[in-house]
Amino acid sequence: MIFPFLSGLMSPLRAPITYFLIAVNLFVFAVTFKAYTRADGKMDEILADDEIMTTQGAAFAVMIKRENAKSAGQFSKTLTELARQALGGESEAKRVLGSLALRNREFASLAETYDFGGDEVAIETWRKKFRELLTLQESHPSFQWGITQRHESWLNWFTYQFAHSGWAHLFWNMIFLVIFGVFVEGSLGGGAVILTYLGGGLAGALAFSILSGISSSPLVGASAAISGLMGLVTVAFWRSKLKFFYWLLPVRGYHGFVWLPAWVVMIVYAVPDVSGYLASAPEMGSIAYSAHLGGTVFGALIALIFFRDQSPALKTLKAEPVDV
Amino acid sequence: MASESHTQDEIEDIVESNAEHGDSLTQRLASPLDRMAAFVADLIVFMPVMAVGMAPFRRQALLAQIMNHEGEWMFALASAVGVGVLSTVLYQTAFVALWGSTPGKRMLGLKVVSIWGDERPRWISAFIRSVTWCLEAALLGLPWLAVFGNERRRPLHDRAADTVVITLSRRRAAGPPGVPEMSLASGAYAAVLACVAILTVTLLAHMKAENGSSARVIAGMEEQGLLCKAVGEAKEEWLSGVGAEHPTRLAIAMALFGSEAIDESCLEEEADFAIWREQNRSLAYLAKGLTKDPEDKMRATYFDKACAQDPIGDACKLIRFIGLNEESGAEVTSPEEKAEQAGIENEIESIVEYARNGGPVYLRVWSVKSLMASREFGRVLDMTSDASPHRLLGYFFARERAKALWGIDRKAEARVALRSSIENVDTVRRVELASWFCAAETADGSCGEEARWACDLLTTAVEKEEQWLASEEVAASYVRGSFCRSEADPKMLTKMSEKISHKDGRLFVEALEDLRVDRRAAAVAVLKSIGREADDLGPFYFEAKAKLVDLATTSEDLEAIRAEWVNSEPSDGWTLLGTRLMTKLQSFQSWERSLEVGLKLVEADRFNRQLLRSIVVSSYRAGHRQMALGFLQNIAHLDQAVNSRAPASQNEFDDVILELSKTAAGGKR
Repeated sequence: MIFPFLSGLMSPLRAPITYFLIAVNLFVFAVTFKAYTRADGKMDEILADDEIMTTQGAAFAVMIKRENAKSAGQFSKTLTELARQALGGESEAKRVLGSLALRNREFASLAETYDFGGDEVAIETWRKKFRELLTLQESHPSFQWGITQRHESWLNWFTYQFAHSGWAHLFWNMIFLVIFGVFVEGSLGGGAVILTYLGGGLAGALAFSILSGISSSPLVGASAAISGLMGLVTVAFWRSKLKFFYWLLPVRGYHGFVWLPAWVVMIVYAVPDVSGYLASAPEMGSIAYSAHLGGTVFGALIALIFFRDQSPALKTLKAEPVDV
Repeated sequence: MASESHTQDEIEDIVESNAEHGDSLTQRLASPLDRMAAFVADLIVFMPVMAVGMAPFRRQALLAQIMNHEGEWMFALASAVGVGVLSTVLYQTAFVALWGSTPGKRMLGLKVVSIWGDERPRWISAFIRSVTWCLEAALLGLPWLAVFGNERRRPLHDRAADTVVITLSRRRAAGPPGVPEMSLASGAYAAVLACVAILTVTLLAHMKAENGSSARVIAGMEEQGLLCKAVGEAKEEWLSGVGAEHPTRLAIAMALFGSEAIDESCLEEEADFAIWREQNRSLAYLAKGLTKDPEDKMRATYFDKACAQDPIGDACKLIRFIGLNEESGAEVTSPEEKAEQAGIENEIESIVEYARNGGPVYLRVWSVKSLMASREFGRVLDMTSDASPHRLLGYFFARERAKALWGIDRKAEARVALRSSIENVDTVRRVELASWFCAAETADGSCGEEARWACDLLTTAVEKEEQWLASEEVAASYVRGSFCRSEADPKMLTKMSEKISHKDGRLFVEALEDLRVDRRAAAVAVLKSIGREADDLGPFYFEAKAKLVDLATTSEDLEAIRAEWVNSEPSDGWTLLGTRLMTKLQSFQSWERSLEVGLKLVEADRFNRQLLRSIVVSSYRAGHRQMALGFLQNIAHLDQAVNSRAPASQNEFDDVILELSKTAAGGKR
C-alpha cells in the first residue's frame, strides 16, 4: 500500500480555503442525511419487488425492440441481446434488464407514458410504482444535488461536487481533499485550490456526460474535483520528490515514509481510473471513472498553463514547519 | 558441451573460480523479508498498469455474464488471465535483463545476478526465470517458500535461470539459512499443503453435494411436471397429428393446465411469453388470471382485461363459464332466484354445447370438469368419445371417461378404460389413478378380485416410494387396499404405522391394531377422536366413521354419526359413509332412518342403481309404498338409459319386489 502524505494536515488557519471546502461538504452531508436515508429506504423497497422488476425488464425489452426497429443501433448490443432473451421468455434476462432500465436515459425519459403493450395489467401496477419512484427521486438529495437527466441545470453542475452518497464515499473523499488541498494551498495558494476544485468538478461532469452519458442515476461526489487537485499536483511537481506513506509488510522497517517523484500519484490513482473506465460497461457500474479522468485532465492542464515546474514552491513549503 | 571448447585443466579452473564466486554471492544473499517486500512494491507499481491491459477483457466478461453467454465469458476470462501473464513476463524479463532488477527490487536494494559471473542475467535466462515464476504463482506461490529452505535461498525460478538474488547493502545480507529456519520452512510447506488439501477436499465435497441437490431439484421438478417441456412436446404431437385442429402453444398450455398436467408457474411462463410478444392477448390475460389466487384482486383484473380484448372470444367464454360454475348450485328459495339459476344452467349448457362442437380444446377440458362436478356422467361420455391427439390430454379425457362410466354403474367398461389408461402414464398419475380406483372398488367394503387388482397397483407403487403417502387420499386408499389384500395381518399393520406420517392416518391404524387384539372400547375411543381437530373433513375422518358404523351393535350407536353426516358437505368420503350408514341402519331394521339417509344421498346427486334399490326396500318397509314404486320406476328408467342389464339381484330387494307385485296383483283383484 502506498498513500500520499505530502505536507500532512495543515492548520485550518494556513489552509482556510481547503478547510472551507471540507466544511461545505460535511455540512451538505449533515443536512441531507435524514432525507437521504428515508428516500433510499423506500426506493430500495420498490426495487426489491421481483414482480415489479421483471415487469420493468419486460417493458424495457419491448422498448428496446421497438426503438431499435425504428432506428437501428439505438440501444447497445448487450441491451439488444438481453431484450431478445427477455422476450424469448427468460426471466433472468428480464430481471437484469429491469435493474438496468433505471440507469438508461431513453427508458427513464420515455417510460412514464410509453405504450408498451404486453401485459397491461402488470404494466398498470408497475407504472404506479414507477411514478412513486419518480416522486421519491424528487425528494432524494442525490437527485436534487446530483446531475441526472432530469436535473441538468447549470446549478447542479456545481452542487453535485458537494453531495455524497454515503459515509465511506464522504470519508475517503475528505481524506484526499485534505491531503491534496492543503498541499496545493500551501505551495500554490488558495486560488489554485478553488479554481481546480470547481473547474475539475465541471470538467469531470463534462467528461462523464460525453464518455458515459448522463442518465437517471445521479452523479454525485467531490471525487472529480479532488482528481483535479491530484492532476495539478502530479504535473506541477512532476520530478520533485514528495512524501508518501508506504506499507509493505507488517514488520518493522518495512513501513514508514518515503520520498518519491510526484508521478507516482498518477500511477497509483489515475491509471486505475483508466482501467476502471475501460473495464466498466456503460449500462452499469457505480463509480464514475470518466468523471475522475475529466477532473485529472483539467488539473493537469491548469498546471501546464499556470504552474509549470513548481519545485521552488516546494522548497518554501518544506522550509516551514509541518503540522501533523 | 564444455569438453568441446575447454581442456580438463581449464574446466577445473572454471569450477574453482565459480566456487569462490559462489561463496562471495552466498555472503550477499537477499533476505526473504526484503524479497517479499519487493514483491509487494512491484504489485503496487505494476498492478494498475496490468489492469489497464486486462480491462477490455474484464468488460467483455462482465457483459457476457449478464447476457448469460457462458462461452464468451470463459473466453474473456481466459484472455484477461493471458494478458495478465504476458504483461507480467514482459515486465519482469525487461527490467531484469536491462537493469538487473524490477522497480520493487530496486527500491529494496536487491539485484538479480547470474550465478556464473555476478552480472546481469541474459535475456533468455530472465525470460525463463519469469515464466517459471508465473508457473509457481499458479501453484499459489507455494514454491517461493524455498527462499527460507534452499541453501542459497533460490526458489525454482532462480534455479531454472541460474540466477540468485543478492542485496546491494551488505548490512541487510541474510546469508544461507540455518537449520531452524530450514525446519521452519519445511513446517510451513507441510502446513500450507495440508491446508490446501483440506480446502480442496471440502470444496470437492461441497460441489458434489451441490450437484447432487440441484440434480434432485430438477428431477423433482420434472416429476411434478413443473417444467414447461410438456407444452412443447404437446405442440409437436399436435402438429404431427392428423386432426384439422392446430391450436396455439398457449391454447395447449391452457388445456394442459386445466387437466392438471402442468402447474401455475409453467402456465405463467407460457402466458408471459405470448403476452409480451403481443400474441393471443385475450387468452394470455386469462392464463395470467388463472395463475393468481382466486382471492387475489388481480385475478379479476386480468379476467376483465381478457374480455375487454375480445368480448366474444373463446377466452372470455371460458371466464364466463368459470364464473357461472361458481354461481351455479347455490341455495335457491325465491322464484326469482330459481329463474336466475335456470338461466345460469342454460348458459353453462350452451357453452358446453359449443365446446363439444368445435370449441377450443381447453374449453372442452373445463366443460368435462364442470360436468363431472355436477355428476352429469352421461354427457361426460359424450364429450370424451374422441381420442385426444396428445398423450397427457388423452390421459385426462380417458380418466374422466372411466370415472364417468363408474358413476353410472357401467363398472365393467370403466375397469377396461381405467386399466388401459393406467398403462402408459408416469408414476405420479399412476399413483393418483390407482388410489382413486382402489378407493372406488372398496367403497362398499367389498374386496373382490377386481378390487385387489387396483389396490395391488397402488400398494406396489407406494411400497417402492413412500413419498406418495404424504397425500392423505393416497394414504387412506393404501390402508383400505392393504386390508383388502390381507385382513388384519399384524405384520402389515406394523408396516403401515411406520409408513404413514399423517396424524389421523396413524390414529386409524392404531385403532385397527386395537381391533385386531379385541380391544374394542379402545378402538372406538380412538376412532371417535379422528378428525376432531381438522378444519375440513379428510378421508381418514370418513374411514374412521365408516369403521364405527361397521362396529355399531345397536341403531343408537349410529345416531350421533348420522346427525353429523346429515349436516356435512357432500364429497366422495361423505357418499361412502352415507351408503354404509344406510346399509347398517337397514340391518337394524331402522327403515325410516335409513330412508332419510338414502333420500339425502339422492338429493345430493350421489346415487347409483344399488342405492336406489336400497331406497325401494327402505321406503317399502317403512310403509311408503307409493314412494317405493316411484323409485322402482326410476331404476327401470336408469337401466334403459345406460343400456345395460341389471346385475345379480339382492335377496332383500327381490323379496320387496315379490311383495310389491303380490300386493299389486291383490289390489287388482
